[in-house]
Amino acid sequence: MIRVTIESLVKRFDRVPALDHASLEIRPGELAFLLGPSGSGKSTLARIVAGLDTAEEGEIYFDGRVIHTLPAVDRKVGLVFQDDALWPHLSVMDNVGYGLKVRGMNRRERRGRVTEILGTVGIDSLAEKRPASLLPAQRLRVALARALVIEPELLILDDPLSRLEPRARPEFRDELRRLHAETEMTTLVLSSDPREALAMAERLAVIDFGRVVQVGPPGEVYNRPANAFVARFLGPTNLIQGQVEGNDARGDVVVRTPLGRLIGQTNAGPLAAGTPVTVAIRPESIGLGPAVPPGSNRFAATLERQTFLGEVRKVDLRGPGDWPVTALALQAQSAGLREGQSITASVPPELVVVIPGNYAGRTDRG
Amino acid sequence: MAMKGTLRGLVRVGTIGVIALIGLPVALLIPSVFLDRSPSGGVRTSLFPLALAFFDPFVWACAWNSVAFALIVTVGSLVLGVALARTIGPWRFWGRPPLATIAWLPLAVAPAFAALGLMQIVPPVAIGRSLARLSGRSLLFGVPWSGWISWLLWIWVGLASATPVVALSVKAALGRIASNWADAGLALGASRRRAWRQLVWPIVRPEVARTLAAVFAAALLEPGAPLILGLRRTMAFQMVESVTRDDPSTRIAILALIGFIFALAGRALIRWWGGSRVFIDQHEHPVRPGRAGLLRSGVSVIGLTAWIAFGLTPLIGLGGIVIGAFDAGANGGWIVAVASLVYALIDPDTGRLWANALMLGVAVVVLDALLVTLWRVTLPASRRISRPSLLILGFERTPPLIFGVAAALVPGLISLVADRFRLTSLDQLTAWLDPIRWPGVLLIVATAATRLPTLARASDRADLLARPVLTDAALSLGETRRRSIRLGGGRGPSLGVLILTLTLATTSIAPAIVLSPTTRTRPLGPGFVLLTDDRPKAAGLALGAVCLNLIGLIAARRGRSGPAGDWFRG
Repeated sequence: MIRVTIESLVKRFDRVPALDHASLEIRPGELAFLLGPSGSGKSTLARIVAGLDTAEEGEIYFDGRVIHTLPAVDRKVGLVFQDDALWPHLSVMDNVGYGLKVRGMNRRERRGRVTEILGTVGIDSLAEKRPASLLPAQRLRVALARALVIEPELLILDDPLSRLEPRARPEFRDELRRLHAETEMTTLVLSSDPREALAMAERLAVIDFGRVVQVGPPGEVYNRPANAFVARFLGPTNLIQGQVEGNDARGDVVVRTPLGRLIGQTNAGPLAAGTPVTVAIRPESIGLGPAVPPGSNRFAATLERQTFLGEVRKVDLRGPGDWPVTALALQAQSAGLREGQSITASVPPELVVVIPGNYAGRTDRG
Repeated sequence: MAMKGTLRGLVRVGTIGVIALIGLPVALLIPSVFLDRSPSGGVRTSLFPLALAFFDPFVWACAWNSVAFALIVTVGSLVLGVALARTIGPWRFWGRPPLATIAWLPLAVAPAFAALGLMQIVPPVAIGRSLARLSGRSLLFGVPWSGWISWLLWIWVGLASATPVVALSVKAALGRIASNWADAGLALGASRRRAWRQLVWPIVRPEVARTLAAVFAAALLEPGAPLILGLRRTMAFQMVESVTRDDPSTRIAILALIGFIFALAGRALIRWWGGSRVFIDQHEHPVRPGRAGLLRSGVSVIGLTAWIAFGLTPLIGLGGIVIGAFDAGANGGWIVAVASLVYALIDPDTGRLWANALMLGVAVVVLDALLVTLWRVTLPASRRISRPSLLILGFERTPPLIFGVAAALVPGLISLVADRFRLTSLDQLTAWLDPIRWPGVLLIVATAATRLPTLARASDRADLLARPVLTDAALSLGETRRRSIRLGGGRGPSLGVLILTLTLATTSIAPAIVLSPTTRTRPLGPGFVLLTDDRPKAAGLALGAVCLNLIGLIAARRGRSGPAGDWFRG
């Protein structure tokens, strides 16, 4: 188990920055996720850590050892590529054993190690098959085995579930968790799927335009986004522009918004009165109905439209100043709602996130 | 419905029959080995001519010379082709677009044309004399210095023609390989060289082997360059000479069979070396080439420039001959010189060559397009593509010169059969097939046979890339079936491939070199070979042919049909 420290990596392609002083720390034995949209620099960061590309600036340390100057073979990084990158002309056995062959291990020993790792990932019966005859989930297991067999200090998986059918993903998530628990290997998973990251990560880092913008436990990143991008990227959110009025007695921030005065919390430290801010409220944080918990923010709204989504109902509200607000309500709690009905919406201050700066858009309905 | 099915069946049988008939002369080489006339004029079956040729050391010397040459060209083009594809392929560097475009140009210069141009720059006789003077001996291992120079020039033009073809196939094969396959090896600790050798090359090799097999067969029996360079001790030279000086048909047939067997064996061995194709079940988006560093850019520019100099020197030589003629005839000023040169290129003699060549090209395109269309209409795409016809494959494996020699023997063979069985009615057929008659039926048929596989494959490829969903969309909107199929992309060979077929049939040397004994039927290729005493005129013709080839290649490229490399067969 090693601690991985990535400090201020910079990489440009044709003068366009792919990584812009990206920094990240992965704790020993941690299952960390690097979450970001396509083109945000995730794969570039992984390739640099694995030694396939070089950074123009920045440093990488494994347990304090300088890594970025070493060739790939000496870094002990196992990389599972997004498209699995299995070699079509080699059998599963040869694909998995290639890293050991490069390291000069003899054939008999290699076979033993490969058979063992194939058993660990549950595909020992496929040893003699060619990749073309495998299902996507089996291919992914082969790629995983190929990365694991060299006993890496850091395992990087580049969007591993993206090639799987949605139905097959939960099973593989469990499998990844199990393998991680067994090996206790420091693992970095790159993902563009927030649901997957929130469900699996022990710690989550969000990357945008080559910069790591927030790191923390999934719950914290989801509930207390550092900026509007993180708020939007992790799930549907209401973004409301406002201006800081001051702080209340508990130290929460009071913000004047089109919905009225809202009390919220911020990660950004003290905010002076008059500071333009964006207020982020998750749709599921909004309570609907006359029962308002004490201390909660409240505002009157008109129910404009409701959409049945299965376990929940999406409710589109029109708040004060004609400001649109989206809420999510459980079926049982929203049975009596009717379109056109006047309603009281409430949200506790700890679920109102105040982000410095005005976000250009008015709302995000997800 | 049943009527339609029967009609379709009849057309299918008829099409297969016509295609078989076109390929029949090659099969008739075997009886031609044993059938000849006795001194009394009667028809006899004898093993004697076979034994005579079989134990003739000169025949074997020619065969081994040709095999050695073909091997050198195959191996050399492999090395150069891989280097060229890897230089052009994955990296961007300053000057790449123009250099990469020019680097493919030697593809349009057939070996015979290149040989004439190269002789202008590296004259074998003059250099041979100098070397003899310098070394104090006129022979090296029993061969005059000029002979060695000619051999080197032959290898030069062979490599210049074959390398772009191999490079194209390497580039295409590399295009199917995801860039991260090599990266996966690097991430596991392999060196770049090892990743290429163990992870990339095994996938590329089977694809390249198919091209190399064609290169070997083409180099083995390409007649143009040996004829221009005077390399008598080669298979192709001997075949052409035997046909043109009217040797006994048995000897010609034996030479052709030996050549054919060597070509087939070489192809088979190279394909065996290549191994079976690797199935790749994913289509990667083409990766944008990465920016090369200073060192890589420098090496790439130097390498490409060196290749261009190597590949285009023959073309410069051809230009030199033409410009030299300018200067010589410029007493009355350059306008007079240009006018005299243009006249020389379109005077009655050369004009006739151009006219014959174009007529041959048009006839070949019409015949081949008709056959391919009937072939497509009567056989579903799935069956054609999944199980390529043995007939078409057989055509592909037969070198053009073999088609020509086999066709040249047909009238004689029919005459023998007519005599043997006293079928006087066949005399008319013999006379009709005689190559001295116009239009040369055998010339058209043999040339069509050499070009048919390219057209058939391009047609199959177009059908393979067709998108039935687009056809269905058009049908659902009320479009006619025919137009819907066109909209879906399944419309057979593109115009670009037809133009390429036309230009290649127009400028090819084999099989026409043995099927056009008189100026009445002689097209451009053989005309060029016979005109080499009048170098300016020959060089002008060659430059014209190169331009035509370029037009064909550009047209095929624009049509995205991809058979550009196939031109090398002719």
